[in-house]
Amino acid sequence: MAFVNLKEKEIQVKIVYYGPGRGGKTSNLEYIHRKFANRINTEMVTVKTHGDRTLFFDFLPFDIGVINNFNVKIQLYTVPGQIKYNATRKLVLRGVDGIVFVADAMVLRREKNILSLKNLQENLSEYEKSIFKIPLVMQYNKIDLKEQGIPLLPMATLERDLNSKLKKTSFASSAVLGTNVIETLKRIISLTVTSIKKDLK
Amino acid sequence: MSYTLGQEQLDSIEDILNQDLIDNGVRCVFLIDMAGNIIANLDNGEKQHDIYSLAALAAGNFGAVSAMAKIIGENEFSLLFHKGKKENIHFNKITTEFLLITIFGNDISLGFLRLKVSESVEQLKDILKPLLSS
Amino acid sequence: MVEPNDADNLTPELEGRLDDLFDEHNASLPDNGDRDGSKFYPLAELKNLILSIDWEITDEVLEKLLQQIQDLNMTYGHDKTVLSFLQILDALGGYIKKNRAKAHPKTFKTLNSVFASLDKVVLSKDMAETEKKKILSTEMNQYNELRIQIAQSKAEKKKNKLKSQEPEITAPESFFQTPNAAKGDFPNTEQGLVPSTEALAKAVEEIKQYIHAEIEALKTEIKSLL
Repeated sequence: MAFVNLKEKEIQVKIVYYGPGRGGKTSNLEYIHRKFANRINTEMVTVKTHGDRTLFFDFLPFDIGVINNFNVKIQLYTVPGQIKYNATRKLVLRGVDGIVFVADAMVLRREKNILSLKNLQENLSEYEKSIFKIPLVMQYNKIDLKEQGIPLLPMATLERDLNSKLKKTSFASSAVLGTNVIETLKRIISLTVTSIKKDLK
Repeated sequence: MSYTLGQEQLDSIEDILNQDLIDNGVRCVFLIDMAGNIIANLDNGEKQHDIYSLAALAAGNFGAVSAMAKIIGENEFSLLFHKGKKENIHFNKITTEFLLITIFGNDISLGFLRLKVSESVEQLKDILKPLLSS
Repeated sequence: MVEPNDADNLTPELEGRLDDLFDEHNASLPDNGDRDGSKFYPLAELKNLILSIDWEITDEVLEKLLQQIQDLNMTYGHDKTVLSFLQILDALGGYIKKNRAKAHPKTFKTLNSVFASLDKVVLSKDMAETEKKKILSTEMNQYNELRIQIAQSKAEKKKNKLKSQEPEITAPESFFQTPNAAKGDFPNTEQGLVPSTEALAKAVEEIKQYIHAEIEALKTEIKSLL
């Protein structure tokens, strides 16, 4: 739920990076934080396990400046991807305004991608939100692994598996290298803020 | 979906929090929604915390604890409070959508703080309830 | 003749029966102070209640506290020092009960401090009477300081409000009574009077005189012992 503060002339927006475990959600945020540290100027909060896997969530807030007289504050969250953390994923999804679905392009992870997307749909519906209506961008991550000879799913397959009904904008990305990370971010912010504005009218 | 609070409402909220809590020795108080957005944030000028992170974690914490309550068959817990050596933190739900978080030192007793928070919550409900019907 | 078997069965049953009979939780009589002091802790219930207040202030706990103080007044009827401590606790308890969230924040610290001192005095069997009175005196000072602060903050609040819509905060009669203090002199908020600076100064002077009188009494007592 976006919060509009008329006193401070501010809108707070929540964007969640969702997807199967080890897919690159945290890496997306880490890249954004590293690359734009001097401009963003905020700390990233991570609640991780000893094995460096997200336990609760990662959190990165930043201002994107004034748009239409309002200061827009973005709050990026990631969810833990492992199946056992579903309760936590539900918590983090509360009040979400926009979603980046980070799919893992590795062949091995095909089924996990599909299950995770289904899981997202179910969790959203518990908040009476529709995966079809909520601002959402698809990211097919780990394209850098191709060069290492690791079998990746073709884009067409990923699109068919995950995006044939949703028909959302999609990006092939590499979170560790930064390929399309910012493009994804810009797109989701744009979609989300537009959607909120529509809501307010 | 989104909600809006106007200048007057936010001023009223700040007045309530100042009079009931800050003026009674509470170090820092912030009102957030369950998504982690900060609606109001006041402190006594002594220390500045990273309230954005605190808000995100507080919402997550409260949410996690509420989920645990349901698992063990409780509707909700009546007290969520963390005691530190010098600083303590107390959470209070306001309706289903908002949280009031107070940070206070050992010079205020928890019992007294809970009384003051209850008072504030009653007043804040009047301002916040209309938002939920939208 | 009692067989060994019988004895085996008898002991647990007997012990169980004795436990039930002498179960302290069900005792309705106040502690009579005749028990072996080294094992029996007379302030246990009072301590529980004071600790509870730290966590949550409810009418139930406050009622129990005031009742417990009454019970202890009977137990310690012979001990003026302890009675004085209990009197302070009673006043504080009554004040909290009446004012709840409007109570002065320092009340709770004072409550805990007075109890801690009382605890010390009761548990130290070898403490000299003078030492006990000294501790009492410290607590009395703190208590009186609190009263002054309460009176001052009420005066300030009245000044700040042009039209007071709030109901008058009242304290029980006992809260504002000091032994030997003339009733009319101490600012009594129950009558809705705003304590003036002179009245406050007079009250402070009276408290000083009281403490002085107590110390003189102590000196006399010591002399009589020598």
